[in-house]
Amino acid sequence: MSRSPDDRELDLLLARDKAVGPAVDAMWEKVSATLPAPRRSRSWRLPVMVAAPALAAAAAVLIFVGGPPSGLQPKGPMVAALVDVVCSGGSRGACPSGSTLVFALGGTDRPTYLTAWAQAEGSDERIWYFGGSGEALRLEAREAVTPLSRAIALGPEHHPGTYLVHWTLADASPVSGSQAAPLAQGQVALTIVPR
Amino acid sequence: MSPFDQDPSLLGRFRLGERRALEVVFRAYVQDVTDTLRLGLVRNLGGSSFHATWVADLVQDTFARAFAPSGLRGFDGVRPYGAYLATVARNVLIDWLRKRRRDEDLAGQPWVFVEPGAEEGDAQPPWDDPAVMALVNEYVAGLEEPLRSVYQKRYVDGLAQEGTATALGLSRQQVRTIEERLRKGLAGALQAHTSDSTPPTRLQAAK
Repeated sequence: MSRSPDDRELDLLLARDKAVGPAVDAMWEKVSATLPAPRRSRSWRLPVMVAAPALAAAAAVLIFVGGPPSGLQPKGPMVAALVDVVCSGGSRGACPSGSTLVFALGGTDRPTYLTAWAQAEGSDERIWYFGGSGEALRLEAREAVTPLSRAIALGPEHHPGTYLVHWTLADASPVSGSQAAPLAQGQVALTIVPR
Repeated sequence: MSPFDQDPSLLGRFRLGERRALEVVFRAYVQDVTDTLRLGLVRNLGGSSFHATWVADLVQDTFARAFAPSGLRGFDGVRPYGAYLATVARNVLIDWLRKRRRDEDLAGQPWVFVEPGAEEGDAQPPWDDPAVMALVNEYVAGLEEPLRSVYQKRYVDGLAQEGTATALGLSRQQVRTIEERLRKGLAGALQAHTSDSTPPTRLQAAK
C-alpha cells in the first residue's frame, strides 16, 4: 500500500456502497458549515429603506416599529419584526388548493400575539388563521426567523383566486370587543390556484 | 416517497432555510446524489481511477450549492426535488471535471461531458477496488460484539450516534469509541495485506 487511509476513507470503506454512517455525518457537518448563519435581530434593525430590497427578494415582509406611526406609542425597546409566509406546495404567486401555509417570524424582543387572516379580493369575509373567534397565537421573543409550529392547511373554504393575508403582532391577545394596539402589522398577496 | 410528501410542513421550513429541515432533506437524498456522482465520474473518467473521497467532496459541494440561499430560491417546489438535485450535481461535476482538465493542462483538447444518467446495460460502478472491498467484507464478517452491533446500526442501518446508543443501551461516548476501534481494526487489516500495491481507497472506474 502506498499510504495509510485516514479516518474519512476508512468510514467510506466501512459503509461500502451506502451513504450512511460517520462519513455522511461528516459530510453534513461540512455542508452545514457552508450555510449562512441564522439571521440575527441586529440585521433587522436596519433602516427600512436599506433593508427592503433584499427582504423583498426573499419574499418577506418587514415592519419596523421604532419610529412608530402617529397614534402608536413605543412600548419598551424597539421591535423589528419579520414575518414570512410560504406556500409549501408552490409559491405565493401560485399556491395550489390543499397546500400548507407556513408562517415564520423573527426579530421580536418580547412575547407577542399573532393574529392572521386571509381575505379574498373584493370580499369582506375573513378566513381566520390565528385569532378571530379564537385566541391569538402567543409567541415567545425570537431573534432568528423561524417557522411557527402551527401551519395552515388551505381547505375548501379557500376558493381559487387572489387573497391578501393580513397579520398583526400585539403585546396582548385581543379580547372580545377590543383590539390590542399592534406592535407591527402587514399583509402579503396570495394567489390560490386549482390543484 | 419524498420527504416532502411525508411531512407537509417540511417544504415551507426547508425553503426558509431551517437547519433541521435541510438536514432531513440532505439525509433523504444523499444516497441518490452519491450514486449519480459516482456514475458520472465513472463515465467521464473512462479507464482512469479515482478516490472514494472525490465522490464525498462532490456530494458536499452539491448540497452546499443546493442549500445556499440562491439554490433554495431556485427550487420551485413543483418539480421533484431529486430531479433538481441531480441537475445541481451534474453542474458541480462539470465544474470539477473542467477544473481538473485545466489543472492537467488539457484545456485545449475537445471534451464532451457524458451524462451520468444510467443507460441500459450500465452496471453500478464498484465502490472501490474489488480486492480492497474483499478485505473490508472479510473484516466486517469477522467482527465480534459489541463492534458488530455498532457496525450494523451505524454503517448499515444508518442510525445516528444517538440513535445507535439508545438502541444498544450504550452512551454516545461508547459508540464513538467503538467506531474508532472499527476504523483502527480495518486500518490494521488493510495494512496487514501488504502484498496489495493498490492504494486502499482507489476505485477502478471500470465500465
